[in-house]
Amino acid sequence: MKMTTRNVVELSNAVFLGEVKKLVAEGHDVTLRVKGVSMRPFLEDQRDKIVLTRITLTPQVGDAVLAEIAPGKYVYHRIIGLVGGEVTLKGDGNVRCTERCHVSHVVAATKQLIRKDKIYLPDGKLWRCYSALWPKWPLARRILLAIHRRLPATWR
Amino acid sequence: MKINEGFELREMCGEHIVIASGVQNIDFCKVISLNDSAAYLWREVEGKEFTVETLGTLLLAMYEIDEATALTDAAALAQKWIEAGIAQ
Repeated sequence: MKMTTRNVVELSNAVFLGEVKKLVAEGHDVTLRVKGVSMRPFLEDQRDKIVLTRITLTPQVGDAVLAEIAPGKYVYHRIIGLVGGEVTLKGDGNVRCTERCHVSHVVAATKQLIRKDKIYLPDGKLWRCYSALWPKWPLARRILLAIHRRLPATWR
Repeated sequence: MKINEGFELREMCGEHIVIASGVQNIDFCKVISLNDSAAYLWREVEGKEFTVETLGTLLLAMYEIDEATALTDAAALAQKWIEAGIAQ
């Protein structure tokens, strides 16, 4: 009989992030490891972390948020548009792909971004500069992301 | 031995996950997952004083195993819980 604790457990995103949504609604902050490359170049898959917190203010364009874009389908992306209660989201590491949902389906705000074990605040100078400078145009993104992919892992 | 206060066993996606419920920030980079047997023992001894023998007796009551195996497994699990900081 094996009764050990296990080192790595893979949970389905839909159910897991549903639990995260509940915990945030209960008032907890939740720290998650980044999965995927859609928030590159700032957040790297499996290396960096985000701390999510309850939404207290109406989300704004430029905020990186966790949103339920369809029942059980969640993304952690940046708001690029907010019109009449409808939010448009796009990962910094995505060239064209966007998602849409109602603003009420934005389930968590960012409290901290932890890149290479260093903590950045969403209203801090570096994140705000990066957010302002990271291009919105597909071609510029495509070129910069291609360069980023070719960098040695330690430089990313 | 006792499970430390502030830890809670939750069912998530069919997994038994121990989270630090007493804290503001729940860090999913550091959660502990238990298998079915360990989760059964957790529920039985939560909030109580227990020993390796207690865990062994509970295993004997639930599974068809011999006493030596039950005690060996119980001791290994207790050690893991202590190392993980969820029991002392």
